[in-house]
Amino acid sequence: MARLDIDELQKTFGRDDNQIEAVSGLSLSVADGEFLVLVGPSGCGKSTTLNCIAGLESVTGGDIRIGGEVVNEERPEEREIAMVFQGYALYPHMTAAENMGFGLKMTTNLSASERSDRVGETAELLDIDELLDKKPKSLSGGQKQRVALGRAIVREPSVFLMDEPLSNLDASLRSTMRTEIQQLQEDLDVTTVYVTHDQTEAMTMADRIAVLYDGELQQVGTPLDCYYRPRNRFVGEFIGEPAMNTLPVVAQGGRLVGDGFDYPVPERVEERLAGRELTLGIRPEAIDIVEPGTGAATGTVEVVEPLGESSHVYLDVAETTVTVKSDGPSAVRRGDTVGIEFPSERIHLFRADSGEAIARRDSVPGEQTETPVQTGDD
Amino acid sequence: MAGATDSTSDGRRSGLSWSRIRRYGYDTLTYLVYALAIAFFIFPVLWIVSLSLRNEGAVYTSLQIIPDNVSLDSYRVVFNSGILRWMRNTLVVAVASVAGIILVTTPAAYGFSRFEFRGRRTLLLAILGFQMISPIVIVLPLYDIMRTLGLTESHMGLVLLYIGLQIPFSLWLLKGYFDTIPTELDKAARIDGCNRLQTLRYVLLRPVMPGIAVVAIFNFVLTWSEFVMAYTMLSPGGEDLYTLSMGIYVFDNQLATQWTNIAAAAVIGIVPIIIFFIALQRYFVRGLTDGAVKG
Repeated sequence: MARLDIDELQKTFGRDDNQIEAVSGLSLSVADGEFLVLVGPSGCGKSTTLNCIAGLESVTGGDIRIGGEVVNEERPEEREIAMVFQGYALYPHMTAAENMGFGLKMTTNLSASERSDRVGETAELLDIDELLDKKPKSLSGGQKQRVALGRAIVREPSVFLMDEPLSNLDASLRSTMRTEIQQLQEDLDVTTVYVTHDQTEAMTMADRIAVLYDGELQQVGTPLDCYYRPRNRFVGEFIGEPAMNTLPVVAQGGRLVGDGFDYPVPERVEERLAGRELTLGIRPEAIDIVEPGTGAATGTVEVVEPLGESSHVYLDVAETTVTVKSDGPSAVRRGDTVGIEFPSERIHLFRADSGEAIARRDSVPGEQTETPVQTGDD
Repeated sequence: MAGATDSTSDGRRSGLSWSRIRRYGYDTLTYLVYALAIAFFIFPVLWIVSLSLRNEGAVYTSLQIIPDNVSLDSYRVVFNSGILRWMRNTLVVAVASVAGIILVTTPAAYGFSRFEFRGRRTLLLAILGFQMISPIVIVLPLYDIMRTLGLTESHMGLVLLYIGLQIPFSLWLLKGYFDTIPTELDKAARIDGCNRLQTLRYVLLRPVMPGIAVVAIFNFVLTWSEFVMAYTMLSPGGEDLYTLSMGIYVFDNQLATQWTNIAAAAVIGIVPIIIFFIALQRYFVRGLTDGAVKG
């Protein structure tokens, strides 16, 4: 177990005029035993960051420290890390036991029987002792992923690195494995960096999440902090399912006015907003459907998606689609004209140009604790 | 109403039968093409076998596949002429060439598949370009070079030539196989403590084995039957150095072309290849289709 620090990490690919900056100036700290999820859309630099931590990619600039030691120049096996890959990356010609023991064989002086004991103990922990003699091609996706986890655990690393390990599994197995990985991480208390583009995984598994976009860190904080207090429009839209609604508005005479939209400016930000062009963000689950003409806006129902415990209603408000998430079956139907209303404490206001949040909630509802490691981000 | 239904069902019936006729016609045509293709390849082999079983006098007198008087005289002559020695020479040259080609191209293909370096694409294209040059065009300059190096009239020289000539094709083929193996395996191996060569040796070599088998079989067959290079490099050295293809040529001399002996030697030369190919056929086909599907 160890603390992981990333300091001004920079990684560029290509040469001369053809350079692409995959990660630019990323600073991040992961506390000993913490579960940090790097989340972001494809191409945001999260896997590159993980590869840099692992030593699979050299860094262009900045430092990576594991347990306080700078490891920039160290080879992967010298960094006391273990990694789980999206495609399992099990060696096809080796049995599950050989796959799990291969790293020990290459990096330690343990005898064959000692290695076998370690593999056996780990297999028992993961409930895969029956699979040890099987080759990857005869294992199911979930079994392969367990073996891949076992290969990482058996090394007893200081830091676990997981690169979208659940992406290849079907939905129900993914949910089961999500819980198992969380439990394992808690039991083993190993510092973990987990990469995913799935914000549900990020929200449900992480102690903290770090949202990346275009190679830059957008926000780092607890899942609820990122959900309730997004630092910018990107985080607001990326975290949460369905995505946050965003509407262009202008602050005029104490009101936020947009196409087909009129809402009183919340008192907490009134002074700062006069005459400014803004983006108003409101989460689908914060919106109530009301009688037409009585709320902040009126629109026409375009699509209703019943999901059982909730429904997604897509409204056309002055040619902008607004998503509403309501509990249970929806009472409205396609073609209905309805109004929408939402509480002022649930709205988010972002600068129209930079997307930066203008006013954020003071705290997350029901959460008073500070984030485990402070960074320069918040 | 009933009339409309009848006419619809009639229409369907006639449509079905027409499509059936078309399908049968298409199938028949396909099998006909198959049969012609098989005959095209099988007939020369049968004809050679037929020739090898005739007396010299019956070569030009009968078009029968099975001759009236079957004779094994040609086989007797061929065995007494040293064909076993030529086959041994051929085996040595073929095995050494195949081993050399695999030893050179496997790490090279791994490098081209996995490493990004300046000029990589140009180099690959240049290697492919070299494959386009017919060996016959460069046989004389090559002979000059080998003579300067003192490598003519030696199997070693011939092996080196075969390795050099077959590297481009084998490299491209193997690179295709390496490209189909996920790079995550390399990453996992590095996390597990392997350096690049160990990654190749312990992790990638086994998954790429079908590709190596294809390269081995292809080059074995090629070097087993190659004539032009072997004749150019070895012929001044005497019959003791001959490979099988050169040995067959012994029976075409200034006095006569001994067709039955040539045919018998050819049949003997084909047998090991057929056995080799049948034994490894499944592996060969799997290797080819694996590459095709994944690549």
